[in-house]
Amino acid sequence: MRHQLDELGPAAPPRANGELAFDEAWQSRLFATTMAACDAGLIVYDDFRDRLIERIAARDDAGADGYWAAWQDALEELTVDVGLVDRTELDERATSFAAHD
Amino acid sequence: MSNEHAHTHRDHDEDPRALRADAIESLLIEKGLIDPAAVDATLAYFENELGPMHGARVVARAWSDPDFKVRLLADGLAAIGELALGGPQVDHLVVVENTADTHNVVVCTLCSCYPWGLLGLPPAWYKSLAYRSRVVREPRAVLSEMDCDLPLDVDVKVWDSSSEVRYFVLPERPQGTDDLDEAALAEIVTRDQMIGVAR
Repeated sequence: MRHQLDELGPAAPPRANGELAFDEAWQSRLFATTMAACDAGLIVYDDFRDRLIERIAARDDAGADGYWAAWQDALEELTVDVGLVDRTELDERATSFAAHD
Repeated sequence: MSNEHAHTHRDHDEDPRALRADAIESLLIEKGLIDPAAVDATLAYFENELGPMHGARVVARAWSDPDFKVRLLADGLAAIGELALGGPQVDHLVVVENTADTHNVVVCTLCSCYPWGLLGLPPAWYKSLAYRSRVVREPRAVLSEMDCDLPLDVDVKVWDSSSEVRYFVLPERPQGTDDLDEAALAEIVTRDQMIGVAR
């Protein structure tokens, strides 16, 4: 299995002493979901990266939290734009998870 | 399957971003667009397969080639370079050898320094405050909780990693492996042994 992933530049995931830095479990799930969607050909990594870079540039919080928030916004935007999911069902699903927890 | 799967990582998490991450994952799975096993496999690749294979190759070489072992213990970085391993994440690598009377265990008390190039992503527990703080104070108890019970006559040494120095445990070669070649040996080495939480 080979995954495309930026090692350097604005789209590169945060690393702490070289390690991919996930502060929260959801960040690693989100990362894996994104890579699985790329592997399945649902989205193109380069398209995702373009949006990720835009989202990062639009944020003023540096660091891992801001990076993964930008990653999430970019993935949602891209999957909505290419018609994999729609915004309403995403919002509803998140709300229903919150209600069940 | 997908529900059970979702529950395993949604425990106690009410962070709106965590809920949204679960929402998109579950929707893509439900629509049959991605396979939950593929998500798990991707995570496992980054967490387990990416690195430990490399570390296991180093251990297997050291078990098979006594001269390599001498070089590995003298200068870890130079020795793993012979296997085309290393890279920018590992600047100084100190390899500590388990013996019949010494067991080594690695921690990073400050954060989560880890020989990423050899072992892949650190496991979640490695980053936990509980492990980082307790393994220094009461290593035997922590190891025992991780199913690594050490005889009392075995000394335990705890090595605290930093951004400058990464430690890597060379486990003892198990009994009864004389007929295994280097490739077969590499398959029996585990990540936990190379961190030192397994014997």
